[in-house]
Amino acid sequence: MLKPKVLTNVLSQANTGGVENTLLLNNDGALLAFSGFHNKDARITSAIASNVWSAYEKHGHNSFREDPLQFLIINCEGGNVIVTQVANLLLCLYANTDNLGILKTKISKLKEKLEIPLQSIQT
Amino acid sequence: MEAKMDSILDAMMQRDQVTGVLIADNQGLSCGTRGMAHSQASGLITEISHQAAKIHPNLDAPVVILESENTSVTISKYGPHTGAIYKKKSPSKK
Amino acid sequence: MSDEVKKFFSSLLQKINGLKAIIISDRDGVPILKLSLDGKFPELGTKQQFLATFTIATDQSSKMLLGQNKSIILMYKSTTVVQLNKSPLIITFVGTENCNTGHILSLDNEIDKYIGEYKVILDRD
Repeated sequence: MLKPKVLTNVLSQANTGGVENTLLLNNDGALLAFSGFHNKDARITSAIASNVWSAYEKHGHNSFREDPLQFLIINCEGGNVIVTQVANLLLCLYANTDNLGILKTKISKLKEKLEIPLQSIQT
Repeated sequence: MEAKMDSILDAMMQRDQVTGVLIADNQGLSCGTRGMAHSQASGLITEISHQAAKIHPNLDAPVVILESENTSVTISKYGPHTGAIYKKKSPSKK
Repeated sequence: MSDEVKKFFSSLLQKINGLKAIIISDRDGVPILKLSLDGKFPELGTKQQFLATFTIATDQSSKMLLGQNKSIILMYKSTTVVQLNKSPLIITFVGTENCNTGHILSLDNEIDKYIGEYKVILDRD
């Protein structure tokens, strides 16, 4: 079985260099695991991130050529949120940095680490 | 996670006359900056390297050096990443 | 839109690596200016329904305690889309997976200079 403490530890590895929160959520926006500094924002972030993800994700399947959504970056005045899919869940970094390249690299590395363990608990 | 890259950036800044360092990915997104290099410049720096590579498409991307009166910026590409080093020019010898 | 504005956005298509199309639309995704590199528009990222997705997305994103939303970047497997919030306008850039996204984002201030007058006109309506 998946150990919650180990999972939180893996998520916390991304919380450097301006990344404030790392979240794991399901497609309905419910928060499953969290590591970071402000718990309060995490629920708002996850609800909005999953909404925006699903709004755009469906366009990748609409055309006759499949073009799946791999990364979503929400760029705001005070920072950025990057989202990607891992197994059937969403992984999300909430950061106060403008270095989008490193955010993308970090979320890709976390995705690699989590993909197989999370697939095994998929229903 | 990015400790190794941070230590490289910091080491570059320690070098003589270096005033800024920037690393960007192949989409022109900034991976890290130090000193006077601003993350906003990463797109343009990647683009300069990409355009310069068109001169000899069958060779590796060339090193591009931009010179102004007081500063030089050296741009070079390593795999998917582009790096830029900002240097203060040494006073010209007369 | 004026020739000057068209010329500016056309020049971006030439300048930015991997960029294929630029569409300026209103909040409902109705195009005001459509430009493409080869006269063709990619299937993904250019339809009215897609363009309008941004309206709700940018409004919601401004509530994440990170300030006003400036842009949303979508990286599909073989398509990159950047949508800029220039309320009441949406500017959408569509390119390849290797499109120079950083370059597009850094043009934010320059774009304001060209579309400022249109924002005022649309706001009055």
